[in-house]
Amino acid sequence: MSQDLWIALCVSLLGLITFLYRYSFVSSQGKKVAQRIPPSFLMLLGPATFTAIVINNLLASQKMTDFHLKGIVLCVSAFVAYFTKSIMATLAFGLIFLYYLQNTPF
Amino acid sequence: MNKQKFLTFLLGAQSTLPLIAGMLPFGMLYATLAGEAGFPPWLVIFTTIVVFGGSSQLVFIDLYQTLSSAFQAVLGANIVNARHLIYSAGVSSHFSSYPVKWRLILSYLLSDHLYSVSETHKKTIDSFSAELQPWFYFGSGVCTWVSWVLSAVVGVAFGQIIPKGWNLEFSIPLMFLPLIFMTAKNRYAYLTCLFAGALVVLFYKLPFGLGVLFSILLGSFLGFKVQKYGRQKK
Repeated sequence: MSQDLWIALCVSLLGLITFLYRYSFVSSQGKKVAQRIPPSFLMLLGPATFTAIVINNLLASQKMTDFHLKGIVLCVSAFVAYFTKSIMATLAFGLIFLYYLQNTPF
Repeated sequence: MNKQKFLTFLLGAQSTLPLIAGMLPFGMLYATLAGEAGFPPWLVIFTTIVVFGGSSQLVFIDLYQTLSSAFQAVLGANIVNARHLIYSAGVSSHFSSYPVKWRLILSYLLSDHLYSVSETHKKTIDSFSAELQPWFYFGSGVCTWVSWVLSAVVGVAFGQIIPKGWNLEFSIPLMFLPLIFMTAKNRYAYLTCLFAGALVVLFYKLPFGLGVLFSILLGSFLGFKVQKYGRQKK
């Protein structure tokens, strides 16, 4: 078996398990389990998930200078996000601000 | 498909469009890295279609390069994808009441983006009849799927020519930042964010992105307990 075909098989396994994760609580059996989870707990999952993704991405910065600059940009962008609630505005502001900081000699 | 279903489908797609801007560079980045890892173009696109999971695909490529074993890379990437269990629980109250055909399709399409839309557009979705609701999710899912696959195709073709100085990979945290404020409905939700954020830092060294999963669950649990305590006190 060629290496590419072996990788394709492994990828198919990854896809299958991912699908099962996604289907787990949607299935008839999973629904019964999901119904036992308090709705007020489920309400908190969204904000917790998005915060975890943001902070994890920041920590994944390869260089310390990147980490500091991205930290500053994220803090300032948080204000933009809070007041505008707009993905596009936050995205545009954050990317331009980071570009500016990286290309400005201090 | 009647007109009403089609309009609901379009509304679902439209509600997802703002999220797409952040996804395009991510898909291109993935395709570029996969190409650098020696994946032929067909395998890059195949992985995108079969897995349909942004960060897990990147982790898969990263682990494949460092461990030189596709099978071990699958195990690692699966742990990253375990957060889809949380998404599944989150959308369960809606999805599980749909016919099996819809449950299967929407489960495949359940990504960070579809989950985000389900959280931020709850009121809109609830205003639709049970028959129309799946069409909204379907529109959102198809919009995400097409964009993700297209971004990978563009990445395969043109990934190398995007200047690194544009920091496009930074689009991901920026894209999720407003979603925090859109889904946090009370002070307990903000407190949960603080818990989750602090826990990510604490658990960051855990392998295979397990820290993210633990932080979400433990952060939400702590927030839930404080909320329960706070409401009992009142």
